[in-house]
Amino acid sequence: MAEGSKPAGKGRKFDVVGTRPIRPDGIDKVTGRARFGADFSMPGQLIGKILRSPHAQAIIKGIDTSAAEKLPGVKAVITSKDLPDLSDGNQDVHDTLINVMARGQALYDGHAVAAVAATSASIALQALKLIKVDYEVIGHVTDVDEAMKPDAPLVNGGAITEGVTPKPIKKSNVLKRHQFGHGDVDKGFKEADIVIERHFKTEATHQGYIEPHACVASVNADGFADLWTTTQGHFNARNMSASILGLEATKLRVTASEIGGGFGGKTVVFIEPVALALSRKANRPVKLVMNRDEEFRATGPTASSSITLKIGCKTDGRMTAAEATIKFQGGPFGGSLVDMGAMACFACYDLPNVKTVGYDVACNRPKAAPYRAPSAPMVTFATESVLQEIADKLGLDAADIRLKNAAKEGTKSSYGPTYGPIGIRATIEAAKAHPHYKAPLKKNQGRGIASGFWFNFGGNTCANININADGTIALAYGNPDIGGTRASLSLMAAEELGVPYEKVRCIIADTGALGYNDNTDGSRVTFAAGIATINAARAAIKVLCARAAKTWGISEDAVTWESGHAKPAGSNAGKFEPLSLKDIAATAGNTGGPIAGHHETFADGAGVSFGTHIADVEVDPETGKITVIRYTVVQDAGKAIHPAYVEGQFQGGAAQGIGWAINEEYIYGKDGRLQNAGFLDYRVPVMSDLPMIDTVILEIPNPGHPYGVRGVGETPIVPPLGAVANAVAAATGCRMTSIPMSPPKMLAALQAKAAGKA
Amino acid sequence: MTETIRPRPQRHRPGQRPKAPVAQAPAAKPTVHVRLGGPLQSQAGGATEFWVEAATIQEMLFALGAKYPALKPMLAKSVSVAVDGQLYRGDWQKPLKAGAEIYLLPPMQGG
Repeated sequence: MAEGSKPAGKGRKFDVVGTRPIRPDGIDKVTGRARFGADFSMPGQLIGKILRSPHAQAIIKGIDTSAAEKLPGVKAVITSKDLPDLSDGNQDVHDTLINVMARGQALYDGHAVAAVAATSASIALQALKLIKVDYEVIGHVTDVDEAMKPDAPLVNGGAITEGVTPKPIKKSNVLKRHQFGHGDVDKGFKEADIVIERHFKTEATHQGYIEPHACVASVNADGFADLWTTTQGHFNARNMSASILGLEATKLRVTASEIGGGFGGKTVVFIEPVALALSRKANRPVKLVMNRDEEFRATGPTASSSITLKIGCKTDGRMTAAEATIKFQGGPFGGSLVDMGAMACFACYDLPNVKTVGYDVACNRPKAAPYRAPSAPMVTFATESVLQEIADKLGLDAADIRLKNAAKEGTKSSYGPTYGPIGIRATIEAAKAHPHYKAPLKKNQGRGIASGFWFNFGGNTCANININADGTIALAYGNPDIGGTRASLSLMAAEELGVPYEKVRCIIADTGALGYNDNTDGSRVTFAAGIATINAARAAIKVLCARAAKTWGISEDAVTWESGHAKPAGSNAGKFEPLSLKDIAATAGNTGGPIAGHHETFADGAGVSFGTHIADVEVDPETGKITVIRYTVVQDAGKAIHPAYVEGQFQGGAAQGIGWAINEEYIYGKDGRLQNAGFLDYRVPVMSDLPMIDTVILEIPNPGHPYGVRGVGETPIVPPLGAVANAVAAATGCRMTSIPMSPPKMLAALQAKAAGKA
Repeated sequence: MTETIRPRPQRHRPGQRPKAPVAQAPAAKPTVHVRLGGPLQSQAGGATEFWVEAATIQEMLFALGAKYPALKPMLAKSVSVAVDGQLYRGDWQKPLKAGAEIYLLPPMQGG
């Protein structure tokens, strides 16, 4: 049971939770007044620019910055020498330090090697051209399968593989091995009537947020510093930047700007330590804004993958065994999150015998960053493709084979733990019952479904509530608002306090105002900050009741809170007119001072999440172009605090997954350089590419949250790759095993099929 | 004002030996079954599971670190702990019951 007194449950009646008010940041955003990362400026600020490696892997034999330093208007030039290694054994800090500024070796095309701060952008760019870098180009590798070969060039010197017994003696690009599962897969495959094994590849994709990374750093002569940045976690940005710069955390105050998308790509720092180091050296504020080319070449895309996956089934569709070998590359430092892929791969299903092995592989590509349900979309594409192929061969309905195998309460998950109450079965049943599932299709059209899983989590979270003298509410929390959490938290505060939504003003406090808050990621904020907000409100209510008791001259225990009013708890407490929150707030100065409530927690109990999607596609037989013509998302939200934003998360995740399925990919040349670093050549879906995405919100309360909330942001990107691939197979008879299913690949598959080769 | 609470002195007659305080037997700690996932296994010398007496997640992690010192850096950095199907990433004071199903998993990240 979560903290708080009222249980989650279907019977709970809400006054404002579940309504759809306008988001508090909405007007600023539609009128252009909202201040994003690049909108902040300071008097006397300099402009920072970064010089980046044109080579996939090269030894940096020397950097001559003398000519750049002499250029009029240049106030500071930095290299790795200006960022001494203070990581003290902390691998995350060490990797980030090397990633923000190369030390002796450039590890990918776009790796930062030097930076300049100047009085104008043009002078800074001119100065970059004057920096002479002496490179010795060495061998590189950008493909995960190539990188695993014994004779592959070693990335960043290679490493001894972790997770292998006995410990290897030779370095390689395989950094870690992860294994999960239970039972005996060999025995399970022997028991199967049908076994299908396929090999899949998925390309890396970028998070595709519209707003680039941007920040302004100001380091004062007294050693105190301020940073304004667009980020998914300003507390994490503070800690990481302070560690790299050698600052005490309290000396660096970080304020988060409005954020124009992140999807995981802004959970890590890229430019903040560089801007701080430039500001420290120049003794002036420094503004640093990435351009789109830099975003693609140097910020974290998701991993690319190579997956071999096998499923065995009885003729009735019951799975007897499943096995996957999953290889992810995540850039030069590892961290591809293949472990999460290996855990998520078969998590939807109840399997007596299952085994997944994941390899985290280094390549000469940008350091991967999480992307919305990191790793789950790629492995789910493979699982849902093979399962559907088996269903087609056995003549079974797509929903029925999934229902037959769906995990349920008491199922031992493929990654170990036994599930409590879960909602996958409900999502499949709702999808099957949806009119979309049986709607007629035309020529060249096909329908596919897929289910998906995500873990969800909570974490470090704080919230402060101050009751203003006029009865309005100031709510402060510590997570950048990506998906409408200011609205959702305001709704929860209003619900608890019994005031209208409009009376609550929710702000995102800076790092000096609250305790540590984890990033806005993992579908955690409405869940975790919701718990903190509800409990902060309950703490404030306790004070409000105490003030009413003082006013009435009765015991605090004899006062209760109902619908925004303090009331005597019973007839023997005395007869008093209820006091509203506004009444109590107005006299706070005479009853003990300002009224507030706060709550700090490490929220656990987020509960796992499942969704099932239905995709209809039409495939142009002449061009191979895939068009998604209808799409439906069914997912369990626990309790939808603001249903419009839940629907928005469902639609956004599906849209990104569709883009990943049919168009988006990083394309590297033989020289190891990225060839499509821009939105013209890296095609994300736009409005005209997509149908209206229908949504079905299931509400199966999460017992780990006072209102039953379950995170919803990540799961919607998990099923689309598989759903679209299954729809394409239904439309064309071609089973696509390489993502994206771009027109050239699709056309080649259609032509091969016509020629009888597939 | 700061108030310091001290134990009340025991009263006894002169010449009479004070009664020795009755030692309370510590509550028996539950024995829990812990399974290791991912690369944690190799750091534990290939062990995939072990039994330990621990009343909380924290005690279980200490016991694991003491048994397999090579695991300590990973345990100190971050692990996720699934107790009876529920995932814990920070509530190390979570009480454990005898026979609880516990999995140690890699740290979780989200996007």
